[in-house]
Amino acid sequence: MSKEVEVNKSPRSEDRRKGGDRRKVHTDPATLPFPDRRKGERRQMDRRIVSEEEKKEIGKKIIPDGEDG
Amino acid sequence: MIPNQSNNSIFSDAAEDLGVEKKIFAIASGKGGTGKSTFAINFSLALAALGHEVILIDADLGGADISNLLGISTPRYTMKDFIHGEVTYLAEVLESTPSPKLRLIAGGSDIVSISNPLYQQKMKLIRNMSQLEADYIIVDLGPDISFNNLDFFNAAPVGFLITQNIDPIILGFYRFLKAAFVRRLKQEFKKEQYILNIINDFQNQGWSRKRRNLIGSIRAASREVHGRLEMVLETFQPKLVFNKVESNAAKKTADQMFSFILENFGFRMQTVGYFPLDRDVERAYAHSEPFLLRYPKCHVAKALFELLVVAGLNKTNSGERIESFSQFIRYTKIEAPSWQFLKV
Repeated sequence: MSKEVEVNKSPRSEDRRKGGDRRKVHTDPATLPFPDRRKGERRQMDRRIVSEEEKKEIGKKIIPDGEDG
Repeated sequence: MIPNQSNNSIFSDAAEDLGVEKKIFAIASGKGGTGKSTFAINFSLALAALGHEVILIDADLGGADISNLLGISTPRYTMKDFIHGEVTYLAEVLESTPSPKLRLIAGGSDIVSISNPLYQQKMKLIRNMSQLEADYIIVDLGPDISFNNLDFFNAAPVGFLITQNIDPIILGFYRFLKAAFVRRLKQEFKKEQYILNIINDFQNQGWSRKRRNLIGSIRAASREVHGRLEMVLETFQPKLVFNKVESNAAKKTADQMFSFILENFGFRMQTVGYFPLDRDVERAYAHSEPFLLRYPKCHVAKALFELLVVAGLNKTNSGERIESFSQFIRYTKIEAPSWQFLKV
């Protein structure tokens, strides 16, 4: 005599078990300024967009009004 | 000061190319108070005055004020309604303006949740923008270097950057430009980890004279990506508008910046407009009115017309080319009476 096995033991409702977790927010890890711990990085990286040296270089490019000869 | 009015300008070609798709212009600056929204409003009005269907989108999420500047103090719908899913399509939040050809999508200000939309919400917004029915779509972005602004800027086929010849504003413009370009590169090469590593190294180590050749490093890494890299360099060509110009110094600064950018990042830029310092603009702004309607003959209105010429946008919707500023004034004067505040 076969006994019917109860498959559905999950406390979650039927519709919750369909598909992936839709609450997950997909973010490109390459754009985040946090250390990648899988690579052993520990400190937060300097993600300044413009460095001090660059700022100085740009500063030289700006010709102020009145100094254009 | 009149910009180079070459018929073969890159911009004209880009504008023509846009014939097959939506003509979307993103307007950014990288710094607040440069005149970005004022430009967006008057640029939209100029195109609407020439008979084109124009939609102006206030995408300064969280800090929107274009509706106020247009004298529409309480728009019925805002971007908030779309982002929060209260309406299905972006077209449902279109707001009419006194100009029959110009419609507005007001940004919802004073609401924290919409200034940081989720990735999916942002992508939905970008998809919906390209589905709007209009001849021109003008997207006014926020002043900061957020991923929102960078992604909206990169999603538009043509991007304008509004700047002034002042150190912190030029730096803000450069910072935005560099961040947008790096983000564009990362989007293009998101599946090539070794290219991403080169870009990340470039970002993490900082810029220096020795290490600055980002494009050279990518080229040297693999021949397979050359074609796509060239495509990015050819399509990433933001257009610069200098605002509050007082002398020829702005042009010299622009030339210096462009050669610096070409040398370090490999893409070309072009100045499409020099807007002179003009008290009429401030007077119109103080009344929350577009300068093009209040002072249609002012110096900046003329500079705006010259920009349309350089950009190849000095055509009416029937295809007639507007060759002179006096002819253009006639169109803007026809537009003006629609606006209630100008009747008073």
